[in-house]
Amino acid sequence: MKKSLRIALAGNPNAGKSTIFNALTGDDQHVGNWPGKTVEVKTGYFQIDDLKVEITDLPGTYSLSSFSPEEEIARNFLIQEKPDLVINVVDASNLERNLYLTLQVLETHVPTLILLNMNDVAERRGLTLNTKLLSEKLGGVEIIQMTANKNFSGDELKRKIIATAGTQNDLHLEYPKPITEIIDQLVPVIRQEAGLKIYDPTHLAVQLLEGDRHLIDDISLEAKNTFSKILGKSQENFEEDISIAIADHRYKIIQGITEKVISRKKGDVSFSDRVDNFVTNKFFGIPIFFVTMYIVFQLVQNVSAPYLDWIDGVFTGPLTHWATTFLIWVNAPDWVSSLIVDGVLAGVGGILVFLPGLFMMYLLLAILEQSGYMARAAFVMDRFMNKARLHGKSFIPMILGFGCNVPAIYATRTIKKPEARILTSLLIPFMSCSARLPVYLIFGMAFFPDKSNIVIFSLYLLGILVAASIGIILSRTLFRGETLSIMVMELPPYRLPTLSSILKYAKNQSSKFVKNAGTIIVVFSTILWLLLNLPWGVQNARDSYFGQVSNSIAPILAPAGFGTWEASGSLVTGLVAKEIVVSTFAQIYHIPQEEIAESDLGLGLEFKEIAVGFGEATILAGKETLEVFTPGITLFPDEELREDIGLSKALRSSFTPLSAYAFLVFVLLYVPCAATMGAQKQEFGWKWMTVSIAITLIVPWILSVLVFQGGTLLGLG
Amino acid sequence: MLINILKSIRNNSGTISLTDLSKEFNIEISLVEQMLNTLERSGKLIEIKIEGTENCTSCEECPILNNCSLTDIFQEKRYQLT
Repeated sequence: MKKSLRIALAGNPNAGKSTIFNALTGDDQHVGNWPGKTVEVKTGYFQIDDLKVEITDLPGTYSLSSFSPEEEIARNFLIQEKPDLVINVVDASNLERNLYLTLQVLETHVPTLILLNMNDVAERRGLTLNTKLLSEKLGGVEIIQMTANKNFSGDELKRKIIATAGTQNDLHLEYPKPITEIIDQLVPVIRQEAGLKIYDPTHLAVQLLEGDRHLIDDISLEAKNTFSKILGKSQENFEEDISIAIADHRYKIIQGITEKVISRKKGDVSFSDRVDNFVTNKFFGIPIFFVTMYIVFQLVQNVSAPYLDWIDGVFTGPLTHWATTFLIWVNAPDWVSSLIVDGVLAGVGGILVFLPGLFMMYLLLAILEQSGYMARAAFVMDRFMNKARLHGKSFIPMILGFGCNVPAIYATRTIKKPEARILTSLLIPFMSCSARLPVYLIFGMAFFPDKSNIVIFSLYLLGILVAASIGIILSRTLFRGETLSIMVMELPPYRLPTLSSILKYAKNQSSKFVKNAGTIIVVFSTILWLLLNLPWGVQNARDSYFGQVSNSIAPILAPAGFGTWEASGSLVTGLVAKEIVVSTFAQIYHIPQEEIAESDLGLGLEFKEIAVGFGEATILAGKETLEVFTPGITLFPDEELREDIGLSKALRSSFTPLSAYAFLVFVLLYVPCAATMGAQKQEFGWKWMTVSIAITLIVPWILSVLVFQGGTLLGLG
Repeated sequence: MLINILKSIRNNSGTISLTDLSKEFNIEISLVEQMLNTLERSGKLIEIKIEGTENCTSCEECPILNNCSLTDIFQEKRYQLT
């Protein structure tokens, strides 16, 4: 009898291999890499009586093809190293999936022991397995039923291993006749070739038919040619590839086995399935998605508004006062005071007020994703995208566009066809990036205080509709011939999001926003301040260089209802980055510092005021959040009306609600920021960047004019 | 069965979910996943990933995608017919 044994642990990922490996080997383990691969290999040992057993924990795989390095390693180990035994760890709660690898392992004819693990999970799912019948169906292979992390007896398993090692594995899969005929042609050639003597001829023939040609890399040219001839001819008799026919046959066998071996409790529909009956329903799916997004925007608005007032108050009050006092104390020249207070503080403050709103937005997105709903929303929208004849792969770049258009443009690299890539990149700017949200929020609150969530929601929707419409037009004109692609999507089960991970996500994304927007706004606020003050000593900002240039553009925008130099000026600066649109307004309409200086309360009182303001904002945000979930019921009837921030008042002097909405439509759709244009130029060249600019100038102008003129005709002006 | 799944994907006029396929063929969703994986191996389907298959290397190596605000969500698997 042998004094040592070599055994391998094989199984699907997460089938519980590692737990079994650790239980069998204890501390006697060695971890390294497979030769020439970055895949980790774990080897362990145990001794039973005078027999030393070496166990190799093979990488978790779903099959034994050479599709990935892990699979290649597992396959090579079994058919080249020929261990004395392979322990196939099978997840009993997922038998259908696990049996594919089991069949492939048994086809290698290496002695096999099946460890049916996770029986407790299977039981909870209402599954009962007939292991005796399963063993019969699998050619009499030894099966042990267990749960690795409960009542696991390592010694019992070790004895079973010794008893099973070296025993014959008798499973012979009977493939359909057309496949068998080709296997029969290949087997004699394999037998004749000296380099292939180590393999089981039938198994190798099947591997070759499945496209696993690496195994015959080192054989004679003559044999290679014979193989090529047979394999080339083999495709003729099959509807799809012969590899599909082989896999299909294995699945048929698996289905036949599981139908007999598994008993299920009837009528046990999972929670996810019950919810999905509505959420992904052909008719309810899109309305549910819209209601969800409506609630998201309602929460963003309700939670951010009180904090917006508070941050605005801190910036225009104590912070400006402290800065002014400090500048006076250090005898700073007037222009330095103006630059810091009217330029930097106004610009940065103008954008930071939206941080709570963005934080809330990221928080809600994370909740939707982690709960599993976002996958459903994507699924529902995928259907819509397909109807718009968009390339299936366009989906991810376009969704990324809601965050930032720049990575979205780069993400089009995933699309193989150049025409489809360009088409997608032309549509991405219509996806409303997060930098535009502050513009929607400030205008929404200034002009539609009770309905700003509907306004914001309508803008996001409009962006999608415009992208779809332009997509349809371009795919039938400039990009004719692009075929519609079908997608298959995974819908993960619904789960409860964890507080720590959603907070972490929201915090990371908000920090990114502050870092990116903060840097660019500080620089650009300085430049804008300069342009608003040149020629030096100019009294009215309209007469500054910036005012003059903006004023010359304004008439073009007059038909859309916002032909003022302030509006055109902010749109021009928005070409640098969309965050700057709001900070430009904040600088143009900045409240003179003398008015603020009057609100001197003393340092202690000002700190107290900041803290009290934060507390009040938090209470108000909490109340408003509760009201979102009780539609039609007023929980807090005596709530004071929110105070307007200075910028809202100033905007109302230049816009009407109708022209404000037309302006928002323009902001949503007009030329993306410089970084996005740069990405388009880098990826597709000047020509397509220019086409994109042309589209994003013409489309928003037409639509905003339609909104304003149409609204005026309807008496909404 | 695998061939029928492929036919079903081809004949569907839009996006289809793994749940739809599971219900249509009365098989466990995990088996549908496995089958899609097999179809991917045989080149009939391609998995759409954030990392590009053609021009990109990986998100980690892409300076822009590291700033992407949505890369780390939308992790669900998506397949497309080749």
